[in-house]
Amino acid sequence: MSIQKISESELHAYIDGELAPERQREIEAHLASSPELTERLDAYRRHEDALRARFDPVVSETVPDRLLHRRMAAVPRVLRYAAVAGWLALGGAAGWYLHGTKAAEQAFDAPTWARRAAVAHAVYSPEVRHPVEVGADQEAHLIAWLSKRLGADLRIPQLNALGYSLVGGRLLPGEQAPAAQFMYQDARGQRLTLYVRTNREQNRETAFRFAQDGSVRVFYWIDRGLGLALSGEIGREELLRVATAVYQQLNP
Amino acid sequence: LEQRQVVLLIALERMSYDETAKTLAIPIGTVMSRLARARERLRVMLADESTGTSLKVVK
Repeated sequence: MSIQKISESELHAYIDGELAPERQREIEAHLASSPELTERLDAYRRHEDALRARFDPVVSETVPDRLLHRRMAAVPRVLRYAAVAGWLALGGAAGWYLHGTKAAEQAFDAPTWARRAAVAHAVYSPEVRHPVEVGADQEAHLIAWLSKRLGADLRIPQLNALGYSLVGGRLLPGEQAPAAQFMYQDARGQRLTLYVRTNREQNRETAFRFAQDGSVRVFYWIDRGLGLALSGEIGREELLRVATAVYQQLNP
Repeated sequence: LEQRQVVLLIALERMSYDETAKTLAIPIGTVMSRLARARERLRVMLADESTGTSLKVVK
Protein backbone atom coordinates (compact mmCIF):
# COMPACT_ATOMS: atom_id res chain seq x y z
CA MET A 1 0.00 0.00 0.00
CA SER A 2 1.49 3.29 -0.94
CA ILE A 3 0.73 5.67 1.82
CA GLN A 4 2.25 8.96 2.69
CA LYS A 5 4.12 8.77 5.95
CA ILE A 6 1.88 9.42 8.93
CA SER A 7 3.09 11.98 11.43
CA GLU A 8 2.53 11.77 15.16
CA SER A 9 0.25 14.77 15.03
CA GLU A 10 -1.83 13.17 12.35
CA LEU A 11 -2.39 10.13 14.51
CA HIS A 12 -3.91 12.32 17.18
CA ALA A 13 -5.91 14.26 14.69
CA TYR A 14 -7.18 10.90 13.51
CA ILE A 15 -8.32 10.01 17.03
CA ASP A 16 -10.12 13.31 17.31
CA GLY A 17 -11.65 13.04 13.85
CA GLU A 18 -10.01 16.26 12.74
CA LEU A 19 -8.60 15.01 9.45
CA ALA A 20 -10.02 15.27 6.00
CA PRO A 21 -12.23 12.22 5.33
CA GLU A 22 -9.93 10.65 2.75
CA ARG A 23 -6.87 10.93 4.99
CA GLN A 24 -8.93 9.54 7.86
CA ARG A 25 -9.70 6.49 5.69
CA GLU A 26 -6.06 6.08 4.64
CA ILE A 27 -4.92 5.98 8.22
CA GLU A 28 -7.66 3.60 9.17
CA ALA A 29 -6.50 1.26 6.44
CA HIS A 30 -2.94 1.55 7.64
CA LEU A 31 -3.93 0.76 11.22
CA ALA A 32 -5.57 -2.45 10.12
CA SER A 33 -2.12 -3.71 9.21
CA SER A 34 -0.38 -2.43 12.30
CA PRO A 35 -1.57 -3.93 15.59
CA GLU A 36 1.17 -2.12 17.47
CA LEU A 37 0.00 1.28 16.38
CA THR A 38 -3.60 0.33 16.99
CA GLU A 39 -2.73 -0.63 20.54
CA ARG A 40 -0.99 2.69 21.10
CA LEU A 41 -3.94 4.69 19.85
CA ASP A 42 -6.25 2.63 22.03
CA ALA A 43 -4.10 3.53 25.00
CA TYR A 44 -4.46 7.24 24.18
CA ARG A 45 -8.20 6.84 23.99
CA ARG A 46 -8.39 4.91 27.24
CA HIS A 47 -6.40 7.53 29.11
CA GLU A 48 -8.54 10.26 27.75
CA ASP A 49 -11.68 8.41 28.79
CA ALA A 50 -10.25 7.98 32.26
CA LEU A 51 -9.49 11.68 32.39
CA ARG A 52 -13.02 12.52 31.38
CA ALA A 53 -14.56 10.06 33.78
CA ARG A 54 -12.67 11.75 36.55
CA PHE A 55 -13.18 15.38 35.69
CA ASP A 56 -16.43 15.60 33.79
CA PRO A 57 -18.46 15.88 36.98
CA VAL A 58 -16.42 18.95 37.86
CA VAL A 59 -16.62 20.50 34.43
CA SER A 60 -20.37 20.15 34.26
CA GLU A 61 -21.01 21.51 37.73
CA THR A 62 -23.16 24.55 37.56
CA VAL A 63 -21.37 27.73 38.45
CA PRO A 64 -22.70 29.11 41.74
CA ASP A 65 -24.81 32.23 41.31
CA ARG A 66 -22.64 34.35 43.49
CA LEU A 67 -19.73 33.82 41.11
CA LEU A 68 -21.77 34.63 38.05
CA HIS A 69 -22.87 37.93 39.42
CA ARG A 70 -19.40 39.26 39.83
CA ARG A 71 -19.15 41.43 36.74
CA MET A 72 -18.59 38.33 34.65
CA ALA A 73 -20.31 40.08 31.81
CA ALA A 74 -17.54 42.63 31.60
CA VAL A 75 -14.83 40.02 31.07
CA PRO A 76 -14.05 39.35 27.41
CA ARG A 77 -14.89 35.88 26.23
CA VAL A 78 -11.35 34.93 25.37
CA LEU A 79 -10.16 35.83 28.84
CA ARG A 80 -12.90 33.74 30.29
CA TYR A 81 -11.73 30.75 28.29
CA ALA A 82 -8.25 31.48 29.48
CA ALA A 83 -9.52 31.51 33.04
CA VAL A 84 -11.25 28.21 32.48
CA ALA A 85 -8.06 26.82 31.04
CA GLY A 86 -6.12 28.09 34.00
CA TRP A 87 -8.44 26.52 36.52
CA LEU A 88 -8.54 23.31 34.59
CA ALA A 89 -4.78 23.28 34.49
CA LEU A 90 -4.77 23.62 38.26
CA GLY A 91 -7.38 20.92 38.60
CA GLY A 92 -5.42 18.80 36.21
CA ALA A 93 -2.28 19.31 38.19
CA ALA A 94 -4.08 18.27 41.33
CA GLY A 95 -5.65 15.35 39.54
CA TRP A 96 -2.39 14.16 38.15
CA TYR A 97 -0.87 14.40 41.53
CA LEU A 98 -3.72 12.51 43.10
CA HIS A 99 -4.42 9.94 40.46
CA GLY A 100 -2.51 7.29 42.34
CA THR A 101 -4.57 7.76 45.46
CA LYS A 102 -7.38 5.36 44.62
CA ALA A 103 -10.98 6.44 44.79
CA ALA A 104 -11.77 10.11 44.61
CA GLU A 105 -12.46 11.33 48.07
CA GLN A 106 -15.96 12.11 49.11
CA ALA A 107 -16.66 15.73 48.40
CA PHE A 108 -16.78 17.89 51.49
CA ASP A 109 -18.93 20.68 50.26
CA ALA A 110 -17.95 23.65 52.39
CA PRO A 111 -15.64 26.64 52.29
CA THR A 112 -11.98 26.12 53.09
CA TRP A 113 -12.20 27.53 56.56
CA ALA A 114 -14.98 25.15 57.55
CA ARG A 115 -12.91 22.30 56.16
CA ARG A 116 -9.99 23.46 58.28
CA ALA A 117 -12.29 23.34 61.27
CA ALA A 118 -13.24 19.74 60.50
CA VAL A 119 -9.61 18.77 60.04
CA ALA A 120 -8.61 20.47 63.28
CA HIS A 121 -11.37 18.59 65.04
CA ALA A 122 -10.16 15.30 63.61
CA VAL A 123 -6.59 16.07 64.63
CA TYR A 124 -7.05 17.31 68.18
CA SER A 125 -10.21 15.74 69.56
CA PRO A 126 -8.68 12.24 69.92
CA GLU A 127 -5.71 13.65 71.87
CA VAL A 128 -5.44 12.17 75.34
CA ARG A 129 -2.56 14.07 76.86
CA HIS A 130 -2.54 17.36 74.94
CA PRO A 131 -6.00 18.07 73.62
CA VAL A 132 -5.64 21.79 74.32
CA GLU A 133 -2.87 24.29 74.85
CA VAL A 134 -4.56 26.16 77.65
CA GLY A 135 -6.97 24.32 79.91
CA ALA A 136 -10.35 25.43 81.21
CA ASP A 137 -8.78 26.08 84.62
CA GLN A 138 -7.15 29.16 83.08
CA GLU A 139 -10.19 30.33 81.22
CA ALA A 140 -9.54 34.03 81.77
CA HIS A 141 -6.04 33.71 80.37
CA LEU A 142 -7.29 31.57 77.47
CA ILE A 143 -9.84 34.11 76.37
CA ALA A 144 -7.50 37.06 76.74
CA TRP A 145 -4.73 35.32 74.84
CA LEU A 146 -6.86 34.12 71.92
CA SER A 147 -8.71 37.44 71.68
CA LYS A 148 -5.38 39.17 71.37
CA ARG A 149 -4.04 36.81 68.76
CA LEU A 150 -7.19 36.87 66.64
CA GLY A 151 -7.66 40.58 67.11
CA ALA A 152 -11.29 40.13 68.08
CA ASP A 153 -13.26 40.12 71.27
CA LEU A 154 -13.92 36.44 71.78
CA ARG A 155 -16.33 34.92 74.20
CA ILE A 156 -16.43 31.31 75.23
CA PRO A 157 -19.94 29.85 75.20
CA GLN A 158 -20.84 27.83 78.29
CA LEU A 159 -22.41 24.55 77.30
CA ASN A 160 -22.69 22.91 80.70
CA ALA A 161 -26.45 23.03 80.51
CA LEU A 162 -26.23 20.76 77.48
CA GLY A 163 -23.83 18.42 79.20
CA TYR A 164 -20.64 19.70 77.61
CA SER A 165 -17.97 21.25 79.75
CA LEU A 166 -15.04 23.28 78.47
CA VAL A 167 -11.75 21.42 78.15
CA GLY A 168 -9.76 24.40 76.94
CA GLY A 169 -8.55 25.91 73.71
CA ARG A 170 -5.70 26.37 71.33
CA LEU A 171 -4.40 28.66 68.65
CA LEU A 172 -4.44 27.36 65.08
CA PRO A 173 -3.15 28.64 61.76
CA GLY A 174 -5.97 29.94 59.57
CA GLU A 175 -5.91 30.97 55.93
CA GLN A 176 -4.59 34.48 56.47
CA ALA A 177 -4.78 34.98 60.19
CA PRO A 178 -4.71 32.85 63.32
CA ALA A 179 -7.82 30.95 64.30
CA ALA A 180 -8.92 29.53 67.63
CA GLN A 181 -10.31 26.20 68.68
CA PHE A 182 -12.27 25.58 71.86
CA MET A 183 -12.87 22.05 72.97
CA TYR A 184 -15.73 20.67 75.02
CA GLN A 185 -16.52 17.22 76.25
CA ASP A 186 -19.43 15.46 77.88
CA ALA A 187 -19.42 12.94 80.70
CA ARG A 188 -18.70 10.07 78.33
CA GLY A 189 -15.70 11.85 76.87
CA GLN A 190 -17.47 12.70 73.62
CA ARG A 191 -15.81 15.86 72.32
CA LEU A 192 -16.99 18.86 70.37
CA THR A 193 -14.81 21.62 69.02
CA LEU A 194 -15.77 25.17 68.22
CA TYR A 195 -13.54 26.77 65.62
CA VAL A 196 -13.46 30.54 65.45
CA ARG A 197 -11.83 32.72 62.87
CA THR A 198 -12.06 36.37 62.04
CA ASN A 199 -13.94 37.14 58.91
CA ARG A 200 -13.34 40.80 58.24
CA GLU A 201 -14.31 40.89 54.61
CA GLN A 202 -17.83 39.69 55.31
CA ASN A 203 -19.47 41.58 58.09
CA ARG A 204 -22.77 39.83 57.86
CA GLU A 205 -24.64 36.87 59.20
CA THR A 206 -25.43 33.60 57.55
CA ALA A 207 -27.71 30.76 58.48
CA PHE A 208 -26.28 27.53 59.84
CA ARG A 209 -24.79 25.43 57.12
CA PHE A 210 -24.02 21.77 57.44
CA ALA A 211 -21.22 19.64 56.08
CA GLN A 212 -19.93 16.21 56.82
CA ASP A 213 -16.58 14.57 56.32
CA GLY A 214 -16.61 10.91 57.25
CA SER A 215 -17.96 10.76 60.78
CA VAL A 216 -17.18 14.41 61.55
CA ARG A 217 -20.23 16.64 61.22
CA VAL A 218 -19.90 20.39 61.09
CA PHE A 219 -22.33 23.25 61.44
CA TYR A 220 -20.77 26.52 60.38
CA TRP A 221 -21.97 30.07 60.16
CA ILE A 222 -20.80 33.64 60.03
CA ASP A 223 -21.75 36.03 62.75
CA ARG A 224 -20.66 39.66 62.61
CA GLY A 225 -17.08 39.35 61.53
CA LEU A 226 -16.51 35.91 63.00
CA GLY A 227 -16.70 32.60 61.23
CA LEU A 228 -17.75 29.84 63.60
CA ALA A 229 -17.75 26.11 63.01
CA LEU A 230 -18.93 23.53 65.51
CA SER A 231 -17.62 20.04 64.79
CA GLY A 232 -18.37 16.77 66.44
CA GLU A 233 -18.93 13.10 65.87
CA ILE A 234 -22.43 13.17 67.24
CA GLY A 235 -25.84 13.09 65.58
CA ARG A 236 -26.86 15.97 63.41
CA GLU A 237 -29.81 16.96 65.60
CA GLU A 238 -27.76 17.08 68.75
CA LEU A 239 -25.01 19.03 67.03
CA LEU A 240 -27.58 21.51 65.80
CA ARG A 241 -28.95 21.86 69.32
CA VAL A 242 -25.48 22.78 70.57
CA ALA A 243 -24.81 25.10 67.64
CA THR A 244 -28.05 26.92 68.38
CA ALA A 245 -27.03 27.32 72.02
CA VAL A 246 -23.64 28.69 70.95
CA TYR A 247 -25.30 31.17 68.64
CA GLN A 248 -27.74 32.32 71.31
CA GLN A 249 -25.03 32.81 73.88
CA LEU A 250 -22.98 34.92 71.50
CA ASN A 251 -26.05 36.97 70.59
CA PRO A 252 -27.80 37.55 73.92
CA LEU B 1 2.38 23.03 31.59
CA GLU B 2 1.37 24.10 28.11
CA GLN B 3 0.72 20.54 27.03
CA ARG B 4 -1.74 20.12 29.84
CA GLN B 5 -3.85 23.08 28.74
CA VAL B 6 -4.23 21.59 25.33
CA VAL B 7 -5.26 18.19 26.63
CA LEU B 8 -7.73 19.75 29.01
CA LEU B 9 -9.37 21.92 26.41
CA ILE B 10 -9.66 19.10 23.94
CA ALA B 11 -10.44 16.21 26.25
CA LEU B 12 -12.62 17.92 28.80
CA GLU B 13 -13.99 21.01 27.14
CA ARG B 14 -14.28 19.04 23.91
CA MET B 15 -13.08 21.94 21.87
CA SER B 16 -11.96 21.39 18.32
CA TYR B 17 -8.32 22.01 17.36
CA ASP B 18 -9.39 25.23 15.79
CA GLU B 19 -11.17 26.51 18.90
CA THR B 20 -8.29 25.47 21.09
CA ALA B 21 -5.82 27.34 18.91
CA LYS B 22 -7.95 30.47 19.10
CA THR B 23 -8.49 30.20 22.82
CA LEU B 24 -4.82 29.88 23.57
CA ALA B 25 -3.81 32.19 20.72
CA ILE B 26 -1.34 29.71 19.27
CA PRO B 27 -1.10 28.21 15.77
CA ILE B 28 -3.07 25.04 15.12
CA GLY B 29 0.16 23.18 14.37
CA THR B 30 1.33 23.95 17.88
CA VAL B 31 -1.92 22.64 19.28
CA MET B 32 -1.40 19.40 17.42
CA SER B 33 2.21 18.91 18.42
CA ARG B 34 1.53 19.73 22.05
CA LEU B 35 -1.38 17.33 22.09
CA ALA B 36 0.76 14.59 20.58
CA ARG B 37 3.53 15.10 23.11
CA ALA B 38 1.12 15.33 26.03
CA ARG B 39 -0.74 12.16 25.17
CA GLU B 40 2.45 10.25 24.57
CA ARG B 41 3.82 11.41 27.88
CA LEU B 42 0.69 10.43 29.70
CA ARG B 43 0.81 7.03 28.06
CA VAL B 44 4.40 6.49 29.10
CA MET B 45 3.67 7.68 32.63
CA LEU B 46 0.72 5.38 33.02
CA ALA B 47 2.51 2.47 31.40
CA ASP B 48 5.33 2.81 33.91
CA GLU B 49 2.90 2.80 36.72
CA SER B 50 0.79 -0.11 35.65
CA THR B 51 3.59 -2.56 35.04
CA GLY B 52 3.42 -4.82 38.04
CA THR B 53 0.28 -3.33 39.51
CA SER B 54 -2.12 -4.76 36.98
CA LEU B 55 -3.69 -1.78 35.27
CA LYS B 56 -5.54 -0.26 38.16
CA VAL B 57 -5.39 3.20 36.61
CA VAL B 58 -7.58 2.44 33.69
CA LYS B 59 -11.26 2.70 34.39
